[in-house]
Amino acid sequence: MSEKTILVVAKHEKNLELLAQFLEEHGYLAETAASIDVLDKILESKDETDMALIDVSGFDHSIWDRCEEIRNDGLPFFIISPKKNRQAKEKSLNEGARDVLTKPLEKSRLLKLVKVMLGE
Amino acid sequence: MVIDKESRLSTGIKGLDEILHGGLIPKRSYLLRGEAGTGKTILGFDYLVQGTKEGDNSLFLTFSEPESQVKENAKALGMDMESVSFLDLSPNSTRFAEEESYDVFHPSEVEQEPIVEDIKEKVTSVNPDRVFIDAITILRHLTNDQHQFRQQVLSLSRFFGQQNSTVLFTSENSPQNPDHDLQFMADGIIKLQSTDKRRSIEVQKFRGSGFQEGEHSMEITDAGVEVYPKLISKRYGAGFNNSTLSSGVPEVDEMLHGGLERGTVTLFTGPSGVGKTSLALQFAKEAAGRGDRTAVYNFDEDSDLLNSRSKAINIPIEKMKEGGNLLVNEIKPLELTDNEFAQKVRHEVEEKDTKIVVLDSVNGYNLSVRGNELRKSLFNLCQYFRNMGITAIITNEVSKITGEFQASDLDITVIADNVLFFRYLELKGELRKAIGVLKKRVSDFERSLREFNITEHGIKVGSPMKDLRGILSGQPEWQNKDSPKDQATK
Repeated sequence: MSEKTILVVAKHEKNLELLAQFLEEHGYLAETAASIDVLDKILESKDETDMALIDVSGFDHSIWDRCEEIRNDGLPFFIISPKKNRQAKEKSLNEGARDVLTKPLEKSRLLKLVKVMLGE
Repeated sequence: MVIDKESRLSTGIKGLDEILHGGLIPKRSYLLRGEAGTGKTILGFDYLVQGTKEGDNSLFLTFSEPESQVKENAKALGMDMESVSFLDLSPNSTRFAEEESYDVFHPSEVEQEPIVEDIKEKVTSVNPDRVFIDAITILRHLTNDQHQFRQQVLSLSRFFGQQNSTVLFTSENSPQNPDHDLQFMADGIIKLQSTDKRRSIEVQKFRGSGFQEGEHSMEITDAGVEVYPKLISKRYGAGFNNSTLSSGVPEVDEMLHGGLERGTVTLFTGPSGVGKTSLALQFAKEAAGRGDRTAVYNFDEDSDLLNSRSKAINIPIEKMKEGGNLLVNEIKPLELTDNEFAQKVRHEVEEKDTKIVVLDSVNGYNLSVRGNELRKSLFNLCQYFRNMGITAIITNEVSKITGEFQASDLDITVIADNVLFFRYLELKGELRKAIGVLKKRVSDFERSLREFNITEHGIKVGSPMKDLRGILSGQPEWQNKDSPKDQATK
């Protein structure tokens, strides 16, 4: 079975590291982006990615443009949001997110969602 | 299931082992509760050091203070922690220092696993017989919810059990952070308390064993924790023959129909300066003559004063002390709690073979000894004397010098088997002293009063003042006008 690649976007380095570490522990490849610039490069390269996890906290409004871009690329994604915020949730869903996850994430639940999304 | 004494694990604290009926039952987990500053960690030191003394492997698992600080504290108490293994999980240790903050996962999901891994790894390598965890409540902050915390503690304690470790874990309980869950999970609970007056220790639960209930006194000394179990009088019961102790003053023995029986408590009651202590010492002198040891607990008076006073009335206190037949122990105000005092007395009785105990006075006891239920503790002590065959003399000072008779200001007469009373009489304008017996449980006694005098040759007691009337009023009159004064002092 070829390894699935998951794009992980988070401004906060430690969060990014932990997410990537968690995914790798479960047999996925994690491609990380801690800034819009890096994210843009990844999106330009059109590398094979299977899904994305996007932690929006810390980014400015431009993150939503990227979300639209990702959706247009046909890549399924989850938004990770700091707290339960209806506005953010609506916005995320409008931008095409499959679901909005509120921090802190529960590892076992995250793993299940990822598996469902990847059709495993 | 009853676990025999040999297989018990000593806590390193004699008094606590006694309360636990021999010690902890191995391979179980015990909760040590108490607020900050109650002495939990020091008790842990004692527990671990006792292990290394017995050749056990001991492991100190610290969540709160860093290892270096724990070691320093132990050193200050003269505890040798050299052979104790450490696992430092304190927030200052490198583990946490390296970490940056994050919020994507709950700390429990990120940090708890490695902590549990570290614990398991350490335990497997050290293979400890004894583990002390200080404080397990820190784990609570690393878990998502109560349920998870409980699971964690349960699985840890199961793990320790499988490793044959006996675990003592502390919890800082406060109204804000109750630890009911831990209490429920532990095989035993030891609670420490501290007020500005006294420290106490109490076993609240002990699966598979009996224990001595109630709050016992605890002290933190330069050498660690000392525990003074409460006296429970029922547990003793040394056999004794019902012999009597003579006073050495024939008239007093006559009044008492022989003397004071062993295993009885006698109250000497009377106003200040009337001769209560002197008569008590007279009994001690007589006992010393037969090679019996007396312990005098002096709450009121300077020992030097007692010395010179005794010498003046021909009681050789120094000589009796040298011969090992007398102990005079001055108890300073607020020096001891009731349990500590009882422990002291027990040591005298059980280790030094003391036969007579004098408490001088009960008023001083009530003023000097710390405790919430002094009446009860004194009652227990008296019961203990009876069971151990001790002849106990307790002095009691009444505030009235003359006037209507009053046996005692306190309801202490109830506790005593015998009551001897002393009083001042005004007779033809002279102040005289009299002694009488008010009650004697074991034998009959003389009903009349006798004149009592303390002279340089010792205690002198006259013949019964049979012709006096109204003695208890303090101003008696001769019934027969011709009765001469010398009848009383014959």
